[in-house]
Amino acid sequence: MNPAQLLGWGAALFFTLGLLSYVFLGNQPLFRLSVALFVGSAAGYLAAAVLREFLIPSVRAAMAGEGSGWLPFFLGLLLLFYATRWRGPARLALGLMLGVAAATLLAGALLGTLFPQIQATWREWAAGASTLSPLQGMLVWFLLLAALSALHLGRTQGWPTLVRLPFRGLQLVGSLVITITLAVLLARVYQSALFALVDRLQFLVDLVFILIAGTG
Amino acid sequence: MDEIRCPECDHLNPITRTTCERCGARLSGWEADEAFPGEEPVASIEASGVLDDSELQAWLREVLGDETPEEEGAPAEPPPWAGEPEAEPQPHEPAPVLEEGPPEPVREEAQPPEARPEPTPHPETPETPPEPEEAPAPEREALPEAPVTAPESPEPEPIPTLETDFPEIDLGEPVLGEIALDESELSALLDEAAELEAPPAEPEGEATELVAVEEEPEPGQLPDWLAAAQQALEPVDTDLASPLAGIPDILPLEPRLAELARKEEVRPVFGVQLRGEERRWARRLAQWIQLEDQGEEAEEEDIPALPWRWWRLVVGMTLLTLLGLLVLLGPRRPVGSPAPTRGAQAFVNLVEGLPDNPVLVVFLDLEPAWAPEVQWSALAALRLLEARSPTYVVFSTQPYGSALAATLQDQVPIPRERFLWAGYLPGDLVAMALLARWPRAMALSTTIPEAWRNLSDSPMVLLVSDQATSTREWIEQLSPYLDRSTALVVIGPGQLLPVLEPYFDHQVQAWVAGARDAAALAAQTGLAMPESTWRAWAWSWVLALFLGLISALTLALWHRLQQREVT
Repeated sequence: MNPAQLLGWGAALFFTLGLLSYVFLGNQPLFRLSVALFVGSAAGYLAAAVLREFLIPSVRAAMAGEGSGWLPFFLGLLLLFYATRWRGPARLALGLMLGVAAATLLAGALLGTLFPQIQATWREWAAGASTLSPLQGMLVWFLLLAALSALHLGRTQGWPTLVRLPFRGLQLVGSLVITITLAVLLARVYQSALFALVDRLQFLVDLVFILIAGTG
Repeated sequence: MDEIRCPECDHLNPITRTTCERCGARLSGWEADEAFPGEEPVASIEASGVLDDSELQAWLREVLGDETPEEEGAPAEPPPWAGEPEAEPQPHEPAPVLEEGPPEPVREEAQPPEARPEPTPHPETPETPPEPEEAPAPEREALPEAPVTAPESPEPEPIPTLETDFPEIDLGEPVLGEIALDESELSALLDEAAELEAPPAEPEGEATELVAVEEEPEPGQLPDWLAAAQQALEPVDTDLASPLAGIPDILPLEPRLAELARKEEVRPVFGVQLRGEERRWARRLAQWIQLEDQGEEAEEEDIPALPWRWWRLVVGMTLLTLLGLLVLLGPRRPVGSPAPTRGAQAFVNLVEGLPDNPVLVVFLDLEPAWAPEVQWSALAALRLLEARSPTYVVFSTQPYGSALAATLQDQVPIPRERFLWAGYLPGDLVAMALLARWPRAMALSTTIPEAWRNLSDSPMVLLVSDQATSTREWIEQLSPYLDRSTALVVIGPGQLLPVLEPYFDHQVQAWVAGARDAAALAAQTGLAMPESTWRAWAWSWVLALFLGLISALTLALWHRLQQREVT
């Protein structure tokens, strides 16, 4: 066990205990110190990483006339105006950024999820290679329609009763489907969090064993 | 006769005097620069700004009905401060226009109904209710008949008199439950009052006047508000400076009412039926007011609430203690390999079909928060891939990517010449799109093999991600630029599995998701998880579920006990 490794383990032990102390003692100095050190070091690392990994290489590329040149820097400088009363130039840069992001998101959802999913489903269905039985396929379509109807935002007041009541039933089923889906996702996130907790406990126990073995 | 009668002792004084010779009372009864509260100031006075005594007494004498021989039967000369009479009536004024005379408020009070011209309604405005025809006229007030300049109008409908035409209103004491407020409205009001529980701090030395809680009066005893109103109706000293001085039942009440309003003693009184939670909130509100009256600060919680801090401590300590015991006492031998998921099995098959020394692209999109589980998955996948000695071109869209990549490189381990750091690219979604379309142009490293230009030049693209949303976005951006010869493999925590399932086989060819897949690949990778960790993780589910259930039951029981206590 070298000193650097021991120092790293000691720091890890200190921060782990400091963060876990919130459970027992609430918001107290040890917890605040741990959080402050974590946030401060993370922010410092972030600044250094952005400077080293992005800004300096981008400036070099712009000075060499490569890439998009100085345009990104110009747009970035325009964003600084958002903190002043002259927000017009900043809105230009902000609008460009948000517009590009929205277009990318929309194009990705269409070309990367919707169309490929429809295509794959149809291809399997046409080739008879679908792993779903016809009953399962109908169930999938029914649940899909129910989920879509649950997301319907329009008014159904003027609809005929023969249409409105089944639609309301479909919406209820769709709400149940969405709830179960979100619950599964949340449970999976919780599972990962529990693994992180167990991993930290395992680290503490291992460290205790190592220290006992080292001193013994 | 240039004399003026004293309103106090009825003594006749010369017109030039402003006070009575006998009693010293003011004769004018009018302050030129003082507007009576609630009354519109006279426009002419506002215009002139200065009121001469002689002019004032001239119109006042006229109002009081004294003999005015020079104006008898002739239009009165307007005083200079009254301004020029309007040559033509404005079309929007329904009121009759007198050619000349004293200021309007007093003149209209003194004008007898038969001498008053009928109002002329504006053609575009709704009908103006006329004055009652049988309104009592003051005895001494008889102004000369003024010419009417407005056109004749049809006979207006008489407005109903108070004594005959309006139904009787019982103004008895309010009865509890007489005003039935909507339950939701009352709850909203009470919630709003609860939000105002902590009043803004006031500077010291400024004691605010506190409002007392009205107690229910004893039988035969008037409520406070009614006693205050009755006291206000008692005659008080007349304010002689007011233009309405001496007119009974009007002036004395006003200063008293103003005083009452200042003291906030006149407040609306209503009754309401309270039920359940409303009664609890009303009791709390009454206690707040009572505490404020006593000069004390209201307590935040007068009803004992569930001690969440202690409960959180109990739950946290129980979970940590049990999991710690499982980790401490559990066997430290490697856990047996569970069955891999179909994505993990597909990954094993893909690795077997890889050529030697391929160029693989790795996208890192993860943060340290989920590192433990992702690290197990990534280590398992990279160790399995090491059998083909690939060269990795590593990109990151998170600033911590370089540190996490270095950790992975050290733990696998991977030689430096085969692990090429291509840089961090900010921008999240846009960065994903740029990396999917032009990965070579986005790379910072100059040691990337020349043969590699696009994603499709690699037999496998590895995406290491920790969030379900970002994983879906990556799949959406990457899959249009990947042909069938390039497999997309996702490495991440177990929470990605529900997102990956729909994309399996046609957009995502394989995955290593979570500690379970990492343990399943342990036979090939030699990366064995301690059984103590595996057992503790498995039991953590049961413990968390059990503690959550106990917490929910405790919360429900606590609320039930609270409701029973209130009711």
